[in-house]
This record gives sequence, structure tokens and C-alpha cells, in this order.
Amino acid sequence: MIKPFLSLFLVLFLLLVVILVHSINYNYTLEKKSLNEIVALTSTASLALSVGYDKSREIKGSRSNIIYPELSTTSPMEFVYAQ
Amino acid sequence: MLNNSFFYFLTLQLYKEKSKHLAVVLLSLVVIFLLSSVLFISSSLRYSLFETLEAQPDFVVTKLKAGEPSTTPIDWSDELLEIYGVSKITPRVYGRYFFKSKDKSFLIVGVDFLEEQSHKGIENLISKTDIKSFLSGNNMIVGEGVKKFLEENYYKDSYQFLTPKGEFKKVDIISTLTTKTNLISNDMMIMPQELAQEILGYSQDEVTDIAFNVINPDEWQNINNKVLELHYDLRIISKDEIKKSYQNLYNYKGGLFLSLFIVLLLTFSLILYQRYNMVYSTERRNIGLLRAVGWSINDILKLKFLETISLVIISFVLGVALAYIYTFIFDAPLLKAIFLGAENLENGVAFRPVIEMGVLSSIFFIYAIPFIASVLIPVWRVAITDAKEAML
Repeated sequence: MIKPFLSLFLVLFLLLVVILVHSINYNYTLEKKSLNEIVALTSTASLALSVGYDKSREIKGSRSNIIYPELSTTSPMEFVYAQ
Repeated sequence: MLNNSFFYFLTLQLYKEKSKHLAVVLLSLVVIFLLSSVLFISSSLRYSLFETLEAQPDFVVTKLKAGEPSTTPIDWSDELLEIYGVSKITPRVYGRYFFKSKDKSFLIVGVDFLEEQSHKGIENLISKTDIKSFLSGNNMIVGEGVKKFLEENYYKDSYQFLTPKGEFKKVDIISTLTTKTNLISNDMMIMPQELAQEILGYSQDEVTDIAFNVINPDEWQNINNKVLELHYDLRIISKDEIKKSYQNLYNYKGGLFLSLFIVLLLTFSLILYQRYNMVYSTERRNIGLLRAVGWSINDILKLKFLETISLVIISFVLGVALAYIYTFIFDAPLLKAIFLGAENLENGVAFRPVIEMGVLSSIFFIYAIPFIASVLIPVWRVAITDAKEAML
């Protein structure tokens, strides 16, 4: 193998090492703890979407289907009246 | 054949024709970088939200008026308490507050700090703040996005809310939430429940909705039915529904990018195929020469295969590594806006590193197989012709 290729593979290897070190050193527990604390305190876990005032920030409770927005979803309310 | 001299020849060949390969590598790198970044962001958000499921309430009940969520009477919590198996009933007060002059909005969340649970939670979140002084006056804790926005607008220590009664209410900012919670709390203003009710225009016996838990998960359906029977105008949302919405979260955006990627890849393969099919005279002569000096068709195909796979691996590793650095170290500037929006407050969220190996290997195979095929098929067609004819 010629020298420039050896150095290229070395660079690629170093990049992979950087990724590995970063993912190992990342404090997953602290992030999980902080998020769980804020959810437990506010009982709210919707994403802080940066949307306009007239648009819904809540993902949950939305009646629209996320994958197929044209497809209407059923709601428990539709069965209450039938009873 | 796969000895040191073979590899020396292979790398020499690649190096000699580096300008020819550079465009292919760069194009592949951009495609893989974009697709990997999108998938990294989507899986990171999904994983972070999934981890909050544990702390979330099992059910949320809201009153509906004309088919839309309306304020819920706080008395409903007493009715819920009478159902056997229901626990931890939490009336929630929250709503959006509009900052008219800048066309931005905040999420006001009212918390009952007199509850022991909330007391502990707030202590953990803002360890440096004195809880007593926080509860003694009109104070609030704000998310990082809110703090930054208010500071830019000269509200450094307090903010004047305009209540629906037309009165101004001054609330002091006592602390800012940590960056780690930005995913949820970036636009939040956490304050005592009574204060939130006053600012949002609720009466003392009105809340936004009521959250509750059910101790036995096997009883979920049963409790769900019992709650539905309480009032005709209520809506109940279970944690399962939230879980489903998290599972589908951003799938469509990731899917959109994936379909664009496949179209792009097919075009890319077609260009490559055309390029090798036209067979440049130098390329043709090279293959002819190798055949003339005694290389078999198999050896030539091996050489071209290894040449192509080297390019595939280099561009794939570079693309994925750069996407990782861009998403998880630099927090995906620009692309982040596609997922979190950019209409309201700027969100300085830090993405949690998540690598889904299944998705990455799929990208690799979807990318590598057409790439290799579009190079090897034309090369094979030249290699099977007579060496003399190929060199003409």
C-alpha cells in the first residue's frame, strides 16, 4: 500500500476513534435524569417545537395522523354518542 | 493474486487516477452525510422522548367544547379519585402566552409547589436557588430559549405579563433551567399554579387538563372505559397513544429523505454506468494491457471490485463520521430547524448520540450494491473482449 493511502486510512481510523470516544464519554444518565425531572415536575413531555402561536406545540392528542395527514383517525368521542 | 504487490498496484492505480475518483467520492459523501444526519437527528429525538415515558402520567383527561379542548373543571379530579385503582391525580395548568411585538410565544406551566413531589423535583432542577424565596413572591423559572429571548428584549430579571383582565403582572425570573432539558423546556416558564391561572385567565376552579396514573397496567382499558362514562364531553389520552406518536415521530421526514436518497442514488448509478459504459479509450487500453500481460478476466474484475469498494468505504466512513460530528458535536445547525421548527424561539438543543446500526447498514448496502454493479458490469464487458481489440 502506498503512503498517501496509509495516511488516508489513518485519518478515517482517527475519525472513528473520535466518534467512539465521544459516544462513550457522553453523559447519558445526566440527560435522562434532567429530562425525567422536568417531565415529573410539569407532567408535560411534548417537544419544545419552535412553531407559530397559532400552531399546535403538542404532538400528543393531535387528531391528525402523522404519517398520512389525509387519513382521518378515530376518536373515543365518536363512540360515546353511540352508547 | 491478493498479495502485497497487488495491493501496491491497486492503491497506486487509485492514487494515479485520483482526480477521476474525487468527483464520485465527493458526490457520494454529500449524499451519505445528508441522509445520515437526518436519520441521526430523528433517532436521537425519538430515543430522548422515549426515555421520558417512565415519568409521564398514564392518562390525561380534557374537557371538550365544540370538539376542541377547553378548560377542565377541577372537580373532575375528585370524581377520578373515586375510581378504584386511580392514583397520583395532577391537575395541570398550561397555555401559550403571546409576545405580540416580536410575534413569539412562550409556554406557561403552572406547578403546584405545595405538593411534596413537585417540591423535590424543583429542588433537583435548580439546586442553587432558595426554594423558600422562590415560593414567597411572584417568581418563575424559565427555559434557556426564553431567558435568551427576554434578555435580548431588555427583560433581564423580570417580565411584565398582561393578564386577560387588562392588568400588568410583574413576575421575577429566579432561575434558568439547564441546557440538558432544552428538548422539552426551551420555551417554558414554570411558575406557581395560582399565578399561571391568573395570567392565562382561568378561574380558581379551572385547569387545562387532569393527569393521573393507574397502578395496575392490566386495568388500563377498564379504567379508560370508566372515565369515559363519567362525562360525555371528555377526551382521554393514554400513554400508549403517546408512545405510538413517538414511534411515528419524524418517520415521515426520515422516510422523505430516504426516498429522495434512493432517487438520487439511482440517478447517480445511472451516470456511473453510462460513464463506464462509454469506456474511455485510456480505461479500455488499461484493461487490454492487463489482459495482454497475462491477467485473467477474474483478476481484472477483482482489481476493479477492490478499487470500487475502497471508494465506497472511504466515502461512506467519511460521510457518516462527518454527519456524527455535525449532529452530535455541533448540534446540527440548519438541519435542526427542519425537525424542531424555526418560527418561534431558537432552540439550542444538544442531541443525544444515538447510532442505529440497522439503519446505517441498510444505507451502506443500498448505496454500495448499485455503485459496484454500475462499475463492474461495463468493465466485465470490456474484459471479455480480445486484448488486441480492447487496446484499439
